[in-house]
Amino acid sequence: MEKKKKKSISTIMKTEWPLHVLLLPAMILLIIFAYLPMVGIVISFQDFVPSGGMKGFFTSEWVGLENFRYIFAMKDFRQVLVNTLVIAILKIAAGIIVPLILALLLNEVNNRAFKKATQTIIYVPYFLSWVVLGGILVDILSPTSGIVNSALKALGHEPVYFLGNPDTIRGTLIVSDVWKGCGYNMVIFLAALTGIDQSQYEAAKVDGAGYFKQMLYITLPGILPQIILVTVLGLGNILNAGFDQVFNLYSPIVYEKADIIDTFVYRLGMLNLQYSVSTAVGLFKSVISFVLITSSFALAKKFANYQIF
Amino acid sequence: MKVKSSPARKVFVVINYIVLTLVMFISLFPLVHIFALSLSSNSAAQAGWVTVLPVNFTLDSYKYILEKPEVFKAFGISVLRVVLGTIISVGLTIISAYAMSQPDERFHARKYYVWVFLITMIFSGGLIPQFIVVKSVGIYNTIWALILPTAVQTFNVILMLNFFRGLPYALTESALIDGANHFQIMARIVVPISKPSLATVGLFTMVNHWNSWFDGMIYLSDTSKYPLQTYLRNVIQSVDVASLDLNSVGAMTNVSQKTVTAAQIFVAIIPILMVYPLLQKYFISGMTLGSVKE
Amino acid sequence: MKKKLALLLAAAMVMGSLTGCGGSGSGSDSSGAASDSGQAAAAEDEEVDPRFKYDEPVTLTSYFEISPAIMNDWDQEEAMNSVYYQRMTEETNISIDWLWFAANTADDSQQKKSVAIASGEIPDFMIVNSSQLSLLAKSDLINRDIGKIFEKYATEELMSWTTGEGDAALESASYDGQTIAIPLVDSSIDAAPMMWIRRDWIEKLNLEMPKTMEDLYNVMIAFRDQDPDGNGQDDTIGMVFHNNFLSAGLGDAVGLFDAFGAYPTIWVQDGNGGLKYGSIMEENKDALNYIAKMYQEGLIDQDFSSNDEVKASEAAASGRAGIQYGLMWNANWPLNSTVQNDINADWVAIPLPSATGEEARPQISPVINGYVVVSKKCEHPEAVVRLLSFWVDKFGYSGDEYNDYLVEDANGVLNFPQHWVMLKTWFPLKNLTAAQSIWEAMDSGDSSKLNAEQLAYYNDIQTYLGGDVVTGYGSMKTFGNDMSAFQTIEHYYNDDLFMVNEFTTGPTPTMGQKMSTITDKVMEYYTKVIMGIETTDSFDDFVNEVNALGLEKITEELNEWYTSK
Repeated sequence: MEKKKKKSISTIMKTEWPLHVLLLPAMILLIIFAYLPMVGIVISFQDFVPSGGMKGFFTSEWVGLENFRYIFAMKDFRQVLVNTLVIAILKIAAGIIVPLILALLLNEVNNRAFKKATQTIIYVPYFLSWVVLGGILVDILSPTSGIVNSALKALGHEPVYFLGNPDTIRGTLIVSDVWKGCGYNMVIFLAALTGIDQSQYEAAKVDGAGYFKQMLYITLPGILPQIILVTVLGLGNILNAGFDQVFNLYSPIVYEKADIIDTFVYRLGMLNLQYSVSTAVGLFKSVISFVLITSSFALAKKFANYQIF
Repeated sequence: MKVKSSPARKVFVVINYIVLTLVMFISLFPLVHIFALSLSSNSAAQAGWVTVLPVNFTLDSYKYILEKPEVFKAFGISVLRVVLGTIISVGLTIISAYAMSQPDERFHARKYYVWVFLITMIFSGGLIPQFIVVKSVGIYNTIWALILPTAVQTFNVILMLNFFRGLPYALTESALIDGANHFQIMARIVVPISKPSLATVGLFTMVNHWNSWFDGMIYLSDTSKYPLQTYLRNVIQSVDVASLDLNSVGAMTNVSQKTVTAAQIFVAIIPILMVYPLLQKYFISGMTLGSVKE
Repeated sequence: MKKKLALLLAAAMVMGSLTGCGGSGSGSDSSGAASDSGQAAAAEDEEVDPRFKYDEPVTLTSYFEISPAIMNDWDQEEAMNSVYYQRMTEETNISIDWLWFAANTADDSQQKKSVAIASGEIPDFMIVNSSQLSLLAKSDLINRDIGKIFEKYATEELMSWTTGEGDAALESASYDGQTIAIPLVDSSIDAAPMMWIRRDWIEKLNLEMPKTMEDLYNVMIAFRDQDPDGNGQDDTIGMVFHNNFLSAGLGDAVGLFDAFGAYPTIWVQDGNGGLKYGSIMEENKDALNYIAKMYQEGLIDQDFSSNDEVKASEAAASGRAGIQYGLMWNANWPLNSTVQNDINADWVAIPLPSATGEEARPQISPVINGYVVVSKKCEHPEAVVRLLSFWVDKFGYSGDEYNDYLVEDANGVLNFPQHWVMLKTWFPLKNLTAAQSIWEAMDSGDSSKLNAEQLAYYNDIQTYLGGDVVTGYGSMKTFGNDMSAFQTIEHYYNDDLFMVNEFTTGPTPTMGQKMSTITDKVMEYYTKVIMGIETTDSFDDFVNEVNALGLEKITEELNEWYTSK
């Protein structure tokens, strides 16, 4: 490539060395804290028995693909995989649609104070951690004393056991995730909306286009890059269904519908001490994610001509 | 820009206001509920009578936590962590994103760096090797263990490099032709006009630092060094009743105080409620820059 | 079992009186036993003074686990500079360097230990659970001679506490025939399930204390429907229940299963000289059907599966429920808070009602609070034993010196600061003995024979009887002479009713790997049956499934051990 442009390495370096310098600190940190620990991936091919520091990675017995055979034979693992995909996909979809609608609605508000207040308030839950929200949700969703169920009962509906019923847990996870996070994407979309050149609307009005047409031909195309960015980054994260949230909200009774890869890995490794198996599950997840992320970036470039990275 | 409104438009506007007000209420409800709980008597809280207003109003919970230095200490650690972590992380994000935002013809090695970043986003050695590394680097049980391992956020680098790409190409191109080097361009041209977008990425970083609890449990050996969320996690955590015996249960009376927990949670929320609205003006304009394309 | 206990009780009592001030002489010096720092573990047969003092200061590294009970008032400085630790260093020349402090919860402490073990950087000594022990057993990280060292250096009192309920404790810490950890024992009979019930409600509704499960059903119906709290509202339920119902503690259902002759989670004899797992016994079906009926009829909270013990027991504490299964300490917390809202709330403990026509047999397991493992790198493994002996001396036999250690807890009560001590073990019959002594003192009016701990309970009871019901509630209901918890335990004990877990060895290989998956499955299936998602018709399928998950293999492995025992 360098040859094609007929530039020698030294000419390139002459102008480009500052860029390498700028990346140096990040590279050092990544090598220490991300690449060095990757040595530990080897234990997914071992029957890991700890022994001082990194030493255990080299002294443990090699078992080939035994751990992978073990996890694929495990009924729970297949279920966990399904759970992860279902929860993640629904979260991504709902996490785009709801904020988009809210942003469009909010964009129609002319009262600046109201607009600002709404935006501020909708964003607030985003700042609360799942540690805190976990405690709150268990309280307000309780079928006996929770406010949500009191309301349902008042409307003549049977109490719903949101967090403890396998049939409702996924819905609860998705709704609460959207509730917490919709401010984030809403602000991204709203910012894009405000960035649209107002003269386009003026021109459209002169042409007699109504609100709906304006939205279709000006507004949506105007924020398409943001929608694509959010979707694509979401797709790359499809195997991350939200450890923090699930961890703080699930219980054994709903494992069959709510246990996701990350919580599964955590329990296997930290509580059951099956380090090798848990690392194998993690590695499996990484490999799939790798394919997904790289292809979603390629898709974004191809279909939206948007270079993410 | 004022135009005459059609009747349909008027109806829409009214419904719009109602819907958004409802959404606001739903967003705020848990906070109000927690606040009401923290101001209620413990028996009312236990019985589940509290909704949005305090029942049997009392300030006991707040009196109780005012006497506890732990909450404020953890609070201080969280603030320190957020400040240090945000400065370092955003600094790294700026310089990395600036370099990575260069087009391939200006930065020939770029595509290799892309992979270096990308792989860290996906592959991880897992908790145990990370722990071993943190320990051998010598930052175990220090605040740096909460800051350095996560200082380079590939996701933020991607966000910011897209902001930078949105800047007019000619702006930097002419400077380069005039003989300015990349340090100068970054410091004198790019960063000054990107302040709002920096505030945006900064805010995300702050939130992440504020909300992290997991790394505190892994990398800190001292509970007295825990940041607020890690501390809260221990407070909210349910008790392992099987481990209780006659000698432990006496003190349990204090633990099950729902109202005290609520007060502690609320204290943890207050700074957010104060800081976030202040940053908001940067926030919106920061987002705007990213969308000005071509 | 009972005979063994009684014998040991006698032995320990005698030793107690003999060594009444065993630890008080801080000058009770080394007599050269521990010699120089490096040479401590000298020749095997050499007689040593178990109360030795090192000539040179010795420092051990470890970690500190903060009990949830003291989390809110935890003051590191205060604890580490307490009289206990000062005396410990004075008398033994050993001090402890705490590498980390963590809350005693699955996410904090267990996780930290997990990480420490996996990274192979364990402190000089640490307290682990059985699955951590089985992993460490395979590693090269721990000192495998600790069993021998323990035998050599333990005081007689420490040894008698550790073997207070037989050799099971030490056996459970053995691996390949070698004792590789020191078990920290606790009383198994103190963990016997019993029933707590509101006597004031029973009397108000003209009912009898339930003796059979049918009685119990009727009482629950009455408690739910007849407005026992008299507030005119339909707000009461039949019984406290929660999602962790197979773990005996607070509002669980272990006692209910026992009523049907089912013993989930423990290993019992199968009648053919072998062992079987209690959770798959046929008898569980009856118990499950009983609870499923309770659920269906709204006798228990419909959201029990998202409530943990603490949350569920709020129903009892707040006066919504008048019955709960639990353990002897329940009246100390949380049932004591009932009386703060309702001065007439009168919780009493009764033996388990039965469904079989015979007296129900409460299931118990040898209780081991943890296993002390010592790092291979630790230069003074015997120092760990010394510290345990120190605990036993000071907590058990220090006479008047005992008072020096007491600290005020959050409620203003003076207690021995047991939560500040990690290396601690218990005498299994301590509490029953205390109760019996208290009853004697109450009869005779002479409290002079009571030790400091017993006297504290005794004084509480006097406060209660004097009219201050709230303050003395816990002690009265636990140790008093009017349908107290220990009267129930004494009844179990005298009639030898305990159904003891036969599983007393270290985890088998498959157990370490698969047992948690199996217990998860059991909980999942039981919960579904209770909630009506499944019926006990599928019980055989469930048994087949858990067998396939590894239970069959585990049973095989365990029987190999059991038959060769």
